[in-house]
Amino acid sequence: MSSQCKNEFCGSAMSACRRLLPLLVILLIALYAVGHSPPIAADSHGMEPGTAMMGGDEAASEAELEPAPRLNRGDYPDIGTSSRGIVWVFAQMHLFFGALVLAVPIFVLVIEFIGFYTRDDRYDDMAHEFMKVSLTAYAITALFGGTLALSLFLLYPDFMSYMMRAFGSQVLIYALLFFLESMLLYIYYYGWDALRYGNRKWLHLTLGLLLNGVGTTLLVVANSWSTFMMAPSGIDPATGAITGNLWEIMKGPLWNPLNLHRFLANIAFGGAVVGAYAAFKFLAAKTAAEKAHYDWMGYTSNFVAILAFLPLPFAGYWLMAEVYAYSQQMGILAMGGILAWLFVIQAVLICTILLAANYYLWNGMARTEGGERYRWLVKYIALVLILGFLVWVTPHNVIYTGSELARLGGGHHAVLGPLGIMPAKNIAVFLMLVMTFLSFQLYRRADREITVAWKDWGNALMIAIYVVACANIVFAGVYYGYFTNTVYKVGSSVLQVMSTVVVIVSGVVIDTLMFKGAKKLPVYWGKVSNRSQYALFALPIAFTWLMALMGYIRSSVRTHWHVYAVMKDNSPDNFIPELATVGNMVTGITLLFLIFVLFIFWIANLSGTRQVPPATEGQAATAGGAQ
Amino acid sequence: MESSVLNALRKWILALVIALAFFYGMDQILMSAQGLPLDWSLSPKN
Repeated sequence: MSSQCKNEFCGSAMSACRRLLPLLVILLIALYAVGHSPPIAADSHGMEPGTAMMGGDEAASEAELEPAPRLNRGDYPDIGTSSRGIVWVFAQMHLFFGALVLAVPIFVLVIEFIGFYTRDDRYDDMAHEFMKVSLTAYAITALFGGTLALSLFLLYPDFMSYMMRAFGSQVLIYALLFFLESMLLYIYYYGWDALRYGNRKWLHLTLGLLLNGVGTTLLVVANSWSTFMMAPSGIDPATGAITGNLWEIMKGPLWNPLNLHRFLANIAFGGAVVGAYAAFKFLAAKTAAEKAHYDWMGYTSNFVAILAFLPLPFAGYWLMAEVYAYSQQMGILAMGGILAWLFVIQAVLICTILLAANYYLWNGMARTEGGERYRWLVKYIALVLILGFLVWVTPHNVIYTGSELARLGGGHHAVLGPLGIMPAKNIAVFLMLVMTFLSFQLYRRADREITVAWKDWGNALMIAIYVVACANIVFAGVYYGYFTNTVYKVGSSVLQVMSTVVVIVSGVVIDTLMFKGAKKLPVYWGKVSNRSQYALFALPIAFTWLMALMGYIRSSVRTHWHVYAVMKDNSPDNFIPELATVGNMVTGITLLFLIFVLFIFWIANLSGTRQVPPATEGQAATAGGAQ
Repeated sequence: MESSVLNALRKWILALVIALAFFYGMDQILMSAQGLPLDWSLSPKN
């Protein structure tokens, strides 16, 4: 072996070691956790450490019936700063990166399959490039995960020992899954070109499928920890003693709603982040070919983000309905108490996402001559979006001074007051979603000339569905929301959800049938304004902010409980912080993540940069001098 | 009125009637399924 080969080998080995180091740290933490938890239960019964695991059914059962610890202030290590603040930052950063690295391979696999099916290498190259961004983020995910675990064991040791008692060996399985995920990820990425055609491609697609299977399992396993803290199951509610098996502990009432919500949100978030990467590359592109490639990549990312984002409110609705069903107090705190104020910020962020996504689609119509046919509709869509935005951000009540109250004639403004409650918000949200789908549908139609004989019937039916669905959304919101009792008001939101779903499903079905044999108009990739690329930057910023905000609300509804109604939080941070603190924390974490994202883009870009050999540089200088 | 305009009008009206009938039925079914029955005018039955 030549010295160069040796160096290459050493470099690769070092690189592999560096990548595996965070995983080793996590495995060691998991091993420590599993090994550490039983003795705590056993010690308190006056047994030898470990007997709870080895001493037969009786001992095991006694250990299992150990109540949840009742902690006082002295049980929490004091490190001179807010423990919650530290865990908050690391948990959120880990979730951001986790969302990115779990989501990207999902749509990468779909794009790769499309490329394989259509025999179009451009899809394959794009999917590979998406994975490059995800791969760079992977090591950072593991590092934040390890740091989070260490922080939790250091700062909340009794809480973590209770969690370990509840989940036991599951954390070890989690760590092993993490190893499997890492191996599959590296084989999937680095084996891309080696397994590119024919039967080998099937092997590569299978690896991608396995990677996503393991990744999604990791997601749902980690979700079970969060939902156990919010709505514990498999325990004695009076004492917190573990009474159920692992499956009973995992399948709490909020588990599946959270699984669905996070799965969709992760895909939308991942699409938005890689969309920003494409925008960054588009703006930096020097050639028309590069611009065309990154324009297409940005369009695909936006398509993925919006496709996953559209059903997200329905998943969120299910999650909140289950929260209310589990504990009305928890639901009211989230949506009617102090945390309700944060939903106004949520409205601003979601509207930003919708406006940015729509703006990008409208700009994208410039890529084809057929887009001109629909341009007149844009101003009406924009009007509905802006009116919806204004209604959504209108608060129900504001803290007034006495003189302001006197001038207003009551606690609510006569005109704006009714816009502050849910029926008005629901109308706004669902109309905005319908309009976003309309933009999307127009964009899809822009590069086609429909030729089917029944196109007039299809168009008439599609327009009628839009008109009646919008009328139904407004009718359900106004009539049941303001003129009937509360039960009908709540029930009518299902009509609004389904009206929106009918528009989306019928739009996809009718268009798919109408596009058969349609004449394809030329699309000029790269012929899009630079402004549209800034919309692609706005998307991940708003998504990140939104995830940090809503994640905080979801976690904060537990109030002063580590595990809701079972294990009290008696640490110095057992209160809901003031909104300004929340705003600062959420914004700070968002900025931190965005800095890391820039770092990832830079690294991903660096890997494709090749220095010109010194000899060539010299020759070039000489040639330049000669000229 | 020209026959092509009448034809187009007929299509729009029929499409609108189909959509109205579909959403009317959907509202009735979805509210009943939640234990919130509606009468023919879509107002609460009880």
